[in-house]
Amino acid sequence: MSHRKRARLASRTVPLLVVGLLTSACFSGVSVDSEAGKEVKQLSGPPQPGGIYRYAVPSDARSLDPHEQSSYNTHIAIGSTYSKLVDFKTGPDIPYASHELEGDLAESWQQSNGGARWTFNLREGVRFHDVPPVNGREFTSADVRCTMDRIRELPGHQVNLISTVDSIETPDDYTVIFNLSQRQAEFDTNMANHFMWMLPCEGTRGEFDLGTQAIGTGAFVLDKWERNRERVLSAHPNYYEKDKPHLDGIHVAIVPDQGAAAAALRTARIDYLSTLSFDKRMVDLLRNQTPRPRLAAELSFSPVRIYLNQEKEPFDDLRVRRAIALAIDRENMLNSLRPGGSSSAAVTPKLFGGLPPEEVDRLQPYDPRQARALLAEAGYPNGFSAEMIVTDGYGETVVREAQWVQQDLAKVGINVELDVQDYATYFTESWAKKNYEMGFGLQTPMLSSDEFLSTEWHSEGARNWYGIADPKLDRMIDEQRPMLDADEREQAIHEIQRYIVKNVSNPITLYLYEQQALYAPYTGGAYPHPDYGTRHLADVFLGDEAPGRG
Amino acid sequence: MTEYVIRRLLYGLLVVFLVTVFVFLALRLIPGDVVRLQLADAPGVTEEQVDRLAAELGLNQPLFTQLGTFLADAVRGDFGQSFQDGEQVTTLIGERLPITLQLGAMAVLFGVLAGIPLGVLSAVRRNSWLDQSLRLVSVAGISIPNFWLGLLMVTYLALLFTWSPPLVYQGPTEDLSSNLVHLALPALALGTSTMASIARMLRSSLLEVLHSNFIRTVRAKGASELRVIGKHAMRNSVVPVFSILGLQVGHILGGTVILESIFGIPGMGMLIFESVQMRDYPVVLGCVVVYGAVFVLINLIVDVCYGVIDPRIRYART
Repeated sequence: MSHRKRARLASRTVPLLVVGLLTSACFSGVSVDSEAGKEVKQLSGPPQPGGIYRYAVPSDARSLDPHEQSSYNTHIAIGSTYSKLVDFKTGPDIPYASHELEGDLAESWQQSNGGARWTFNLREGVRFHDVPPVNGREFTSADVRCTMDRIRELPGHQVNLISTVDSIETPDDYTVIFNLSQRQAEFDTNMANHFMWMLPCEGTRGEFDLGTQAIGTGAFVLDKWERNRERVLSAHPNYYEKDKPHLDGIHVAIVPDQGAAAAALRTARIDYLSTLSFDKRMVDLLRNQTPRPRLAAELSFSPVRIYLNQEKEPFDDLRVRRAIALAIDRENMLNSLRPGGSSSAAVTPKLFGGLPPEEVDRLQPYDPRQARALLAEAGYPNGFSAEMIVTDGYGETVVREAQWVQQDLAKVGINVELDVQDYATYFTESWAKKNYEMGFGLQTPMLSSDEFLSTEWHSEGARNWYGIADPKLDRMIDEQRPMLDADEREQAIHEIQRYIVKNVSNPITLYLYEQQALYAPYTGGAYPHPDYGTRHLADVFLGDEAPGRG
Repeated sequence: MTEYVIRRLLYGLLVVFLVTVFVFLALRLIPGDVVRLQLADAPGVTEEQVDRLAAELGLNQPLFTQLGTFLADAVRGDFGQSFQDGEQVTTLIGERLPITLQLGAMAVLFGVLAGIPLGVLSAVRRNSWLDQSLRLVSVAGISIPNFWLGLLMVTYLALLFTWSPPLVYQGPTEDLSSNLVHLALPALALGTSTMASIARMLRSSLLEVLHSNFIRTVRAKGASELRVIGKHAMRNSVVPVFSILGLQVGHILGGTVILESIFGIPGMGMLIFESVQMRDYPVVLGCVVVYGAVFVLINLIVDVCYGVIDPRIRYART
């Protein structure tokens, strides 16, 4: 071959080779290690002290003030800095999301007067962090009073949690008595809510800025908070639980991009990653890296829902709402778009009073034929058209779920046009102001059945953005609250949910999905709770090979 | 020359003013209630509280009154306070701008240092396999969105070399090596398009010059090829490259908005990204004014540089 021909051939083939290499670099998969499929276990004890636990979160808190901010970001940021009177139990022998309570700052507690008087006996010798102006002084009942007074002064959901409190008595430094205006069975559960962090009086009096500083009694001291950059925490040397926390500290990096966070897990720059925004394929890819991380998959408390504006036609007609509920193939939708999950009625099944998933499936089957019949009965034999709002702010999967719903509804004659909005518009302009016909999205995870029912389904509920006004339902919700007999109350809550499915059918809960998290294989003792807190970090420990020990 | 610079500065001010007015009005057209967003994390608030906050933020005023107030304050160097945390916008910009300028400078540096040799190689090896390959790389560099390139870099460096950039940004005075390592990937992603544009532009202008009579004369005098290109051809080919560089600054500044968020760099780009999401009007406007001013200023510097590189250009006459 002549030099000229060779040159011409090279000038044609080399660029093609470059294209090939670039393409393979961009689209090739990742080799899967031979250990694939083997489950990685949590590091077993005994817990080893020391090391820095590092993880990334996609966004930061706007403020650290727990009473001015209800957002997940705020409460997660302060969740291991402050403590509550009581908290949800977690641990190796406790089922995930258990609603069983244990004392946090309270050593014990009891109710009297048929549930109208609650006495909390505080631990003695609990110390605040040694940070001015609190300077490590002892936590007392006065701090409980200061916190409660502040909650009552500010607007927000936390006011509802103590709305029945008539008066507070603090007979001594270690006793707090709440006198309620009516009997309340779940008052102690309310005190485990993440709004109930106990603040020092110095904070409530304005001696330091609660928005930028968090001085509590929790297992970790907040040493540094650089907003949108990092949080640095160190172990509280005088934490009330002996030999805890096991870690020397925690470093939290704010990493908005989930791809960058995934790369950080791969390269052992972080020890934990919540895979909230990843699809199933990405999670599998991350699981197959070496060393293999541990996948923790637990049922989320955020219900996936269709919601309807009952103040607009045709959604004011129960038959139309019921038809929509029957038209969705939940099971296939869940299995196709999420890693797994469970059916749910109004109250999350793992909470006290949650309806068993099997019963939910029986109450809300996939029955497009009946859905069409109901639509015809309601005067829409040929269906109708409507607009459904959704936001990509919850991630791409939620938009895909909305598209699934769109297709299922089309099969019964309901032509849905999707309006994908940015989160700001979706929340502030559309959902909360009831500027929508249909909506699709997630709801905040709530921690008690009463919180779910009274805030969303009661006609005066703070989150009733659907136009639900059913006097019988209001009465049922009000009546269950003071019931002290657990069985009787559970039955009442079950009955409310059956009533909602049959007579309200809005919002229509489709399912709860499995929430996944990946832990580096050298981590142990991680038993979180789906509330907005991180008290469980006191139990977390690192193995010898953890880079955080370096 | 002075007259030219003053005239260009005045034009620049007009551009910044028009951009500010446009962005001010465009922001108000985006759906989303800034007051309710501020209160979104404190549900249970009353309409009175919403109204009070709107009044505090000056959002109950007519639109053009708000615009007038903003412009009057901006002239005095006061862009107001952030709706989100009450901090002075000028303080926020003062903290963030140096980070973005450093990132931008690194991107430009990479673009120039890589683009010029590639352009020269393409020109001197015209139509060879090397030229064809470099053309492909250049076209890809211009076409691939920089944020996608950034994501690819992060993902594949982690997959193939088990390496990822640091997660927490450190300033150059805190930890210089960590700072440079952190900024290297986004600078590469941002500078790739600049590199490609420079390479393409330099190739064509160099080819044109290399075929001109004066280069033939230089060659006839026995000058080495290195001298022909380095001393004679390059100086006559580099003016269009400077034009490209001026325009690329806009591209780089725009690219920082997404890339800073991907790489967790707390610069102006990330500030704009967060502020648009939260409808933090004063911060967005302040950033846009500064970005506009930087763009105008750099293009002015580029224009002034023409005269230094090519004395035939006389500003006074333009």
